[in-house]
Amino acid sequence: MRWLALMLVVWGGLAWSEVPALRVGIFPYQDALALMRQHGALKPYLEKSLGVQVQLLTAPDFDAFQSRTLAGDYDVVLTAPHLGVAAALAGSWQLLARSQNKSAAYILARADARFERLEEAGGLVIMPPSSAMVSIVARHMLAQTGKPFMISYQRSHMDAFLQMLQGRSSLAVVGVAVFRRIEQEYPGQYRLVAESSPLPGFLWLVRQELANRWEMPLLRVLEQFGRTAEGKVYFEQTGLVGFESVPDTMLPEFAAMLAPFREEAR
Amino acid sequence: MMSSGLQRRLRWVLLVLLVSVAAVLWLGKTWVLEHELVKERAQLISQIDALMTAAVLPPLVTEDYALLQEVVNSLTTRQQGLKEVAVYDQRGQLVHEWKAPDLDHSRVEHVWLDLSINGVLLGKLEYDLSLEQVTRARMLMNAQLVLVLLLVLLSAVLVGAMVHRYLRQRLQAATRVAQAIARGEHQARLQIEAKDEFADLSVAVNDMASAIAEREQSLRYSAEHDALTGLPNRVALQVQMDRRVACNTPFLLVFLDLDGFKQLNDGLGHGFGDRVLVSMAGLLVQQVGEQGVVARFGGDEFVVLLDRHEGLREEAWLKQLVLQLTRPFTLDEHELVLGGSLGVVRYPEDARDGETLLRYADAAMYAAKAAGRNQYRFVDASLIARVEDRARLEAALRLAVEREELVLYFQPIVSAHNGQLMSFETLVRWQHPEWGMVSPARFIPVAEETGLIRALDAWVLRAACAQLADWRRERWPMLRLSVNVSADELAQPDYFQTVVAVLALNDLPAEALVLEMTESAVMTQPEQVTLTLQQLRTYGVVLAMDDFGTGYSSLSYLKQLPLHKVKIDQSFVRDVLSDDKDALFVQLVTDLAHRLSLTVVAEGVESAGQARALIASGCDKLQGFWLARPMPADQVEAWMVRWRELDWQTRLQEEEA
Repeated sequence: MRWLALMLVVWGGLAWSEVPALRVGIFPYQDALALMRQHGALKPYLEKSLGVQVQLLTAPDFDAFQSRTLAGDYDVVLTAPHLGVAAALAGSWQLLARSQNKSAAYILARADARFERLEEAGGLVIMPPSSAMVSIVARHMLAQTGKPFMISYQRSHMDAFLQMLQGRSSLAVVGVAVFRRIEQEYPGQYRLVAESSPLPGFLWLVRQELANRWEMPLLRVLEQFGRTAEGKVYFEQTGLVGFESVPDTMLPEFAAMLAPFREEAR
Repeated sequence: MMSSGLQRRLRWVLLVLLVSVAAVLWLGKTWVLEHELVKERAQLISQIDALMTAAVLPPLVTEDYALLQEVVNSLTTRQQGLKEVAVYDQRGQLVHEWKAPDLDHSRVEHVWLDLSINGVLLGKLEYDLSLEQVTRARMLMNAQLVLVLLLVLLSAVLVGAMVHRYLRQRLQAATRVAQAIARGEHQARLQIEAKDEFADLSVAVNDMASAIAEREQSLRYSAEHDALTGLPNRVALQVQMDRRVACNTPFLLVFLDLDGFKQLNDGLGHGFGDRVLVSMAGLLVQQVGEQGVVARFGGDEFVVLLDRHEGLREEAWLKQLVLQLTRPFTLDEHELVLGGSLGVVRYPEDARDGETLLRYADAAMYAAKAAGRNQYRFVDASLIARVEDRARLEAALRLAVEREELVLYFQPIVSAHNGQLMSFETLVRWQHPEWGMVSPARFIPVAEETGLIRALDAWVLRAACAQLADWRRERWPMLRLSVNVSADELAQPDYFQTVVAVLALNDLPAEALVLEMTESAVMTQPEQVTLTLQQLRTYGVVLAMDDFGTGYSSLSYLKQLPLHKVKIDQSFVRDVLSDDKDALFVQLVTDLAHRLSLTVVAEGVESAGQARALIASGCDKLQGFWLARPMPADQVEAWMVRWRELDWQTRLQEEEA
């Protein structure tokens, strides 16, 4: 039995390795397991719809993800808007689609915090890695208060929230996906202190060399995903609402929208 | 001591119990162990799977292979038993492999694990898990099990020993009490120490002891008291006498026999007789009071032990007692007058032991009864002499047969018509070595009273038949012998078989034997005797009624009994010449007997005149001294020679001359 199982595995591996798998990179805005739990449904859907093996990947952190993206370690990525714009502007990636949700930066305090408004707060603020969109926006919001804050970065949004909850900081910064999760899992333990203006959702990009082959099929299946049963569950869980094609004017609009944060991004 | 059988059985029970408990524990624990091991193995693999999934998936999907290696190393360090780990990505390509330095593929569990989340396969993981840990755990648990079993067995042995000891002690205690009760120590009781089954047993044993004590008391009372009157019986009387004799306390022993009770009992029934006895017992107790003891000796006989205290006027007391006994009284509307004959002895003057005192008192009572009843009589020297003489006679008679002191004598019976010898009557004589020839009139009544008559009869029958057989074989083939049979012997249900056996033994025909019995012998048990006589007659034995005329002279018996002969008693023959009444009696009996087809034998013929008168009256056969005195066997032949030489008519005339 053991040899039979081994042969099946070897045969299966050989069969799969004949056609190159489509490597889909998911922006690591949560820990890997949470990320796979939420975005795992993409893998069977894409494999079934495209008829190709899909490898769902992420990276240890934002920087690594961006580096791998730019290095061409993925074929398709679902990434943060500012990173996606940066990659597209770099010329090696082509915008494919976007999520229909609006994101935001949420600044949270513990439920027992003595302050109610951001202007009354102070001290340490823990937020996702500095290159995260919400971190850029949050730094901008903190700067707007004119008060000094110390900032510490964690690998993920959830880590930032949990650190704050444990009393290591007075404030934490999370994005919309984690904020939705927090609402369900930690009710009554936090207080929303400030919320940024709406931010664009995630962007789908395909590597420039593969665009001819995969742009249209990918765009088609991504747009149709929301009509499937598993797609509805997926969007319910991720809060991404749906995927839609990106208008040609989007890239300049995005650049304009991100301009106020250029200083913080730098 | 507890019996070795029970000990052995208890030990076996304990051994079987221990082995059973050990086996059940072993099997149960082994089953549970196996079950737990399977469960534990499944849990271990499940834990490892969950751990691997959680630890390996993040670096795998993030392609952080350095972290993956670090994670795998960490896992293999922390999780004992992992021997080989291989991680495959979503395309099935090996991305990391780790092997333990002491890799041994034997006794390992090979596991393939799909690394998936929500059913989405994100990679595969293959690992080998050594079962050594499980095996070690199993061995450890086995060792623990053995230890537990040993402890259980040890505990069971200890508990068993304690139970065994407790049971043994309780059983030994019960045995000791039971043995004490068996010895008659009815106060012995088992202590009730706890409320358990032994307490129940103890209560039961104690109740049993009480019940036995009560029953023994009741039995002792029954053994020592007369059931009808409640008076002490012979046993208790003996105890009372022995007690007084032991203390040398003087007393009067009064043996009392109610006069007239037998007639009353026969006439008004045994139930009424019993009530009379109870009434008389009450009277005696009232008369004796605290001065002595009243005992019922048997039947209508009572014994009074009267303590001879100072001031006792014996004669007056006895007279008063006789007076009270003869006083009329009413019972169940019957006015009764009884009486009593009293035999009185004095202790210690007359005898010094209870048995002798009773014998003397009994003899004195009979003397009082013989003297006219309703009186008392003290025993005296002459009475004692008679009692002792009779006792010696009885003792000697018991040995007479064994010592061959009894001798047969034969007296001829001849035809009245021609003087021809018809038969001999067999008579027994006792030739005592010291006393000489003892008269039958002296020893036959003693034999009858003591029951020795049966042994005597049996001996006479055997000896007479043996003698007759000799004579018939050697001299006189047609000779007959008459043998007397007592009432006791005739009343035996097997007497017929006895006669038949004796005749057969001696090869004698039935008609060679003539059995003579008295009327009184027939009247003791008429039905049984009549049956026996009918059997004997049917068999061919000749039957004769002896001493007819002295008893009831019942014509009814003459008619009913299957007799051949009637022997007229010698008392009528003796005066047949001088007393017309005797002559008439002989005449009437002879006529009556002839009409009933019976032969008439006249016994006690002592003269030719008597012979002629008897012949004239029609008697068929004669017997008596005139013909011949009873003679021993060795003289019979000489007498017969002489007798043949005599002419019957001449002898009748000569004697007349």
